[in-house]
Formats: sequence, C-alpha cells, structure tokens
Amino acid sequence: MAKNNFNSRKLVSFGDPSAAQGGYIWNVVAVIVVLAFWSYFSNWVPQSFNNAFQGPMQRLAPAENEMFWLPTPAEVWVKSVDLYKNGYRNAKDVNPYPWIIDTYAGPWPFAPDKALGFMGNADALNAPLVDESGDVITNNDGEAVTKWIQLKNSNPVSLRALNKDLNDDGVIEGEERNYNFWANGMPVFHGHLWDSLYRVLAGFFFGSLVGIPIGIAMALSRWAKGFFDPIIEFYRPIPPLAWAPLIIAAAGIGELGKIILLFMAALSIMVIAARAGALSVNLSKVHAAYSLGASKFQVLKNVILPNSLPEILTGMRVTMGVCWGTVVAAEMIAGISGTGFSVNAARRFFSFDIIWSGIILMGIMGILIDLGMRGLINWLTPWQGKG
Amino acid sequence: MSDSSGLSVDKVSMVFQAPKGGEVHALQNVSFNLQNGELLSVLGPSGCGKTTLLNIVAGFLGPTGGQLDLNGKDVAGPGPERGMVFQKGALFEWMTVERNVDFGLRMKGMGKSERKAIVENLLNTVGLKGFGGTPTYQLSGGMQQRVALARCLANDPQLILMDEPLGALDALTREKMQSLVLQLWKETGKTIMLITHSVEEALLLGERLFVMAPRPGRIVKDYRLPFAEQALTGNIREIKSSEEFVEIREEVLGMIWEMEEEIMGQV
Repeated sequence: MAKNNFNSRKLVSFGDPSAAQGGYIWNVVAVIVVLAFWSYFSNWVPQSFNNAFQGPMQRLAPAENEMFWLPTPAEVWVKSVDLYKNGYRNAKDVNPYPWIIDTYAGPWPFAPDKALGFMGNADALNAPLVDESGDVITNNDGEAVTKWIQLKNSNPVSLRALNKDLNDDGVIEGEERNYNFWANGMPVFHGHLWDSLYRVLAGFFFGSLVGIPIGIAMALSRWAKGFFDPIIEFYRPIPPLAWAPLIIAAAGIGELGKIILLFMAALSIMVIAARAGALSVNLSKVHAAYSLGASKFQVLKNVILPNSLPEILTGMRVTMGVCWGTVVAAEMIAGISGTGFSVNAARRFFSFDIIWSGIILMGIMGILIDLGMRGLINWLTPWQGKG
Repeated sequence: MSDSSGLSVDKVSMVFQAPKGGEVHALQNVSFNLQNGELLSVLGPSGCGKTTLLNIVAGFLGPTGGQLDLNGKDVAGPGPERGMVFQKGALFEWMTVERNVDFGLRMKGMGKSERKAIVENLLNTVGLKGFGGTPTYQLSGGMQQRVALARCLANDPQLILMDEPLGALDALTREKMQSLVLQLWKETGKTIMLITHSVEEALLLGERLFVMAPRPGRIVKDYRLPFAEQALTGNIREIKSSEEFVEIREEVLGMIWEMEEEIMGQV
C-alpha cells in the first residue's frame, strides 16, 4: 500500500512546493554524474581505468608559432630589473625591451626570481633582431632571427592552452590596442572598462538564462530538486576564482574563459534566487488559479513566475555585484584587456594614478549598476511586500 | 448514489498518517446533500476538519474514503465549476483589478470585448465601479475581498466555496460584506458553501448550518435557519439582536465551547 500521509492525498502538486519532496534517487544520480565528470577530466581514477576512456594523458607539445606564454628566462628578468633601475616608471619612458610588456606573479622588482613567466609583445617579438651596425641578424639558413626564435629555442616548455587567442602568426587578434600600450602610453580605461562590462553582462545573461529555469524547476519538481540540489550546493561554496586556473586552461585567456567563469558565479545565485521565489508562492494563489480553470502551464506563467519576480530581481542585483568583483579578479589572473588587467599592469610599474582611477571607476560602475537594478526592481515589481 | 442536482457528499473520510506516527481522522463518514441555490455555512472549533472538507470539495485534496459529485459530475481535482474565495483574497497582486477579475475568462481564451462587458458588470455589482485599472495592492482589505468575489463570479461557477472570506476584516467592513454576500447570493442564485469561525456570521448567512466536531471530524448538527432570507430584505442589526437569533447563537456557542474545552483537556 502506498504511503498514506497527508501529502499523498494532494490532488494539486504542480505549484505546491511541499509536494516536491523526496526524489532522493536523483541525488544519487547527480553524485554519479559529478564523479563521472571528475574521473574523465582528472587522474582521480586509476590511470589504467582512465586510459580505457580517454587514452593516456599527454603533455601538449608546442607547435610552430603557437608558443606565447613562456617561463621567464633569466635574461628577461635581468632586463626587467634593468628597466626599473633605469627609472622605468610609466608609459612616457621608452622601453628598450619592447618584447617584455608584462611579467607574471612575482612581486617585481623585489623578488624577480619567483616570477613565473612573461607576456610578450607579438610585434616586437617577431621583429628581426639587428646587430650594432644595424644589419639584420640571420641564422645559418639565411633566415632573419627574431627575439621570438631566440626565446623559443631557449625555452621549450609551453602551455598551449593559454594560446587559444593567438592566430597562426602568433598575434593576438583584434587586441593590438592593448598590446601596443608601450608605444601609445599606459593603459587607459577607454575600452578596458567596456571590455569588463561586456563580460559581466554576458556572464550575467547566460547565468540568468540557465539559472532561473533550473531554480524554478527545483521548486516545483521532485526530480529536478533531487538532481540539481547536490550539484549546485557542491559548487556554490567554491569561490569562482578557484575555478579560474582550470577554466582559463580549458577556454583560454580571452573572452570565453571569463564569461564561463562569470556564468558559473551568476548561475548558483540565480538558481537559489529563482528557487526561493518559486517556493515563496502563496499556496492559496496557486489554488485560486486552478479553481479559475488555469492549466499547469498557465499557473506557471501567470502565478508562479510573476510571484517569483521580486526574488529573481534581488538575485540579479546580487549577481551583478558578484560578477563585477569576479571579472576584475579574473582579469588580474590572466587576460589582455579589462579594468582588472589595467590595474594589475599598472601595479608593476608603480603607476598609482592608474591604480587609483581603476579602483574609483570600479566603484562608480558598481554604484551605477546597482542603481539601475534598483530602478528595474521598482519599475517591474511595485507590488513587492504589499501583497 | 447520485443526486444529479447540487452537491452530494457521500461518506467522505480523510484518514492519514501523522508525521509523528498515529492516525489522524480529519473526517469520518461525512455525508450531506446541498441543493442548487442553497447557502450552507460550516462552523466548528479548530481542527474539526472544516477546511479539509472544503479542500476536498474544491478538489485540492482527495478523500481516503467516500465520494462526492457536483451536479452528477465526480470531483477529481480543482475545476472552474467550483469557485474559491480565500480568507485574504489570494489576489494576484501583480495584476490590476480588471486583470484579476477576468483571470478565469482569459484562461478560457475569451475575447477581449466580451471580457470587458462581464468585468464592468461585475465591478458594478460588487461596488468597485471605476476601479478596474487600479493595482490590487493599493486596495483596502474589504475592497480586495470584493475583487475576490467578483473574480470568482466572473467564471460563473456552479458552486462557490468560501474559506473564511471575511475573517481578516474589521467588524464594520465585515458587516457590509455580509450583506454583499447575501445580495450576491440572491442576485445570482448560486450555491454557496461558506466556512467561518464567527458564530454570528454563520447564523446570519447560512440558510443551512453544519456544526462540526473534531476527532474524528464529523457533522454533529444540521440547522435550517430563516435569518438569511430575512436579512435579504430586513435590517441585519435587528435580526442579529432578535430573540430567536440570540437563542440559537447561545446554543451553538455552548456546543463549540464544550468541544474546545474537551480538546484543551486532551492536550
């Protein structure tokens, strides 16, 4: 005999959150799916088992003209310190080593030996080297030798994943603006600010697009709750930046990696918000709608969705703030444009004017976005708290 | 048994497992017939199963035993032929008064001009002329209940179920609304089943009155009362202070007091 509790007697289950209980079998399914992903993308399972699915792990070998990110050769560091000692502080100074445009991860210039690598100016790297008399240096084959060839030969290790944004010539497409700042002056926020904003909006948009339906499904359906709950609750407490190394390695240092990162930050918040919104539906309203002849879809569209709107909009407001914080940090880790990148680049040359203006602009953008969200909330849900 | 006219409830029981173990007999063998056009009020102490009964008739809950039908049609889920009026209106506050009232008609896919005529007529009836474009969250409690009544009537249901519809209103508004309910009942000739906590309201509005008792939930007394008919033409205040009214009120109050004391004793 079926379980004879009160819930089992309910004839209206769609729209009644208390009917979306149980579904524990789907928890198990979710855990299995997560473990399957993990094992596929890692060495968590024994190698022999793993090999059966994806073949042995391979180190990616550098391809011709593909290498860009390089472990710092001693020569670069000596010259970086040189730059600083010679009064190299800002864009007005002339850079004698144009192939160094940014150095990574070391609190330069105080501990250059701890640095991990440098980022090169593709144009400068590909320019032929000249000797003291001004003649082009050629190798035994009569080819012009570039800084690129020099460095490449001395540093055979590459991280190919970081090179997704390079075209076949080793040049970053469409990003010359950001790469020529040695020539044009230090980075200014024209362009960078909009790059950051674009990423935030894209991550936010896709996060909402996927998160809201999942959240509402979790409030209404036993299996959706059972399946998504463990997954969302597992990844939600992880700071988005903890994913950054993985995602940047997989999707590159360009737009895609950052948008995926922001999507992940937005997704969990939007799921929680939409779910809370759908759970807050007053059961009498759902019952009233059914009694007025509404179908399940009509109840969803006319009652559950509008009723969830205040919570969803609050979730969007929180999401915008979190995304803005995440994008700046992500740009500091890896990237070639954006507010975070600009500030981080300025850090290395003690350009505190850039750093200050960057911080202030981030604050102003935060306020403007929040004001916009507040306006949107007042416009869309004037009834909030008055029902 | 199927009395094809009106609501027939036959030996309806609701027995379920309490979360802490043990069986709860919310309803036990409740049977009654409600003729079309009758106004029934149901009264009883907390936990006597009156709301459960209403939810079963509305189709939100399935009984564990017995069956019920409305005009020969089995009740197997909520439907537009059984309209609901809830305690706090349960209005859709993101819609205007007009959108609330024609909700059922829109769900049916009725045309705009047809809907407009019905809504205008109903808003006149419930005394909300000119409020069609007002957002419902700006209305007072009494006006919200008027919207809820109009929304229910717009669908032209065969049976109207009211779950303490006037419970959240102040005394004065409540009295006005009581006469509105009676007036609507007379004008539309609808069958109404009304649940209330107020003995006075139950006596005044109920052409029939069930007094229910808890553990197990059952109907212990079935009155037929003249006050609703009288109130249609007479003065409500006078009826409420008439000798006959006071006598029955005290009798019912005494019954409910006794039941409440019994419940308290059990706890």
